[in-house]
Amino acid sequence: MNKMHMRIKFICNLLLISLLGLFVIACERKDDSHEEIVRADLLLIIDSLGSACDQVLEYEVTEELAYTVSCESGDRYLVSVNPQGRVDLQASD
Amino acid sequence: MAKKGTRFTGVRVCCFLLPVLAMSVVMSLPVTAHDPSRPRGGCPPVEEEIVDLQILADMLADTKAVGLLTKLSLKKDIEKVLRRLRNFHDGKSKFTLEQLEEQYDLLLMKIAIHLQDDDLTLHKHLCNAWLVIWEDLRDSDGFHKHHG
Repeated sequence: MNKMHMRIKFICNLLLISLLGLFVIACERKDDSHEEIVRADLLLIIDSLGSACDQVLEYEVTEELAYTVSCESGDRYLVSVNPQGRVDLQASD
Repeated sequence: MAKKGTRFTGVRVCCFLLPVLAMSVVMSLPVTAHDPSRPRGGCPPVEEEIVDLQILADMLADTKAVGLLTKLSLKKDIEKVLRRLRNFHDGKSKFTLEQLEEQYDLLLMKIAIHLQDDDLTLHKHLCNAWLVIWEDLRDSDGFHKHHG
């Protein structure tokens, strides 16, 4: 019984280590392209500011630290940083 | 005669006042975003400026304005940007310096969102450090000095 218990414990530990390994590999995946990085960051910024987007379909840099973003949800936003370093989000037509 | 004197005095006053007026107008103009001494134009002043992304990361770890999971996520994002910059300085990057600057700006935007309402002191530091840190990161010597 004790031997069986040890075996089960060993298999559980092995499974746990394998899962952790897979998690680390998934986290260390290769860098995306620059465009994909910008899209993901803009999506996160819009989400963090409490607005809906789903996916960033297109974006355009309008000036330094200002983007117009078109979302899969149909929304369009103007994301910008004001001179005081504050990130602003405005719905755009 | 008296009229001539008055006119002469008026001209002298104008000669003195005009340059003073012109100087005060020039000095009151807003500082541009590219001025390294005032990174983004209108940041509130701070006593001590942050010059290193690692110091900003440490201050971010200490703030109560950001939750634990967000802190971990931002820490990972900071490490990613630093890794890409290290690759760039080692000549192994697939990104251009312009692209890395954009990624750095987006990183600071992601951090700023969490501070701008809940930790004004750290947000003030971030605002002032925005361009200063980038100048340090883009320079190979500065980068290796702080992140070697």
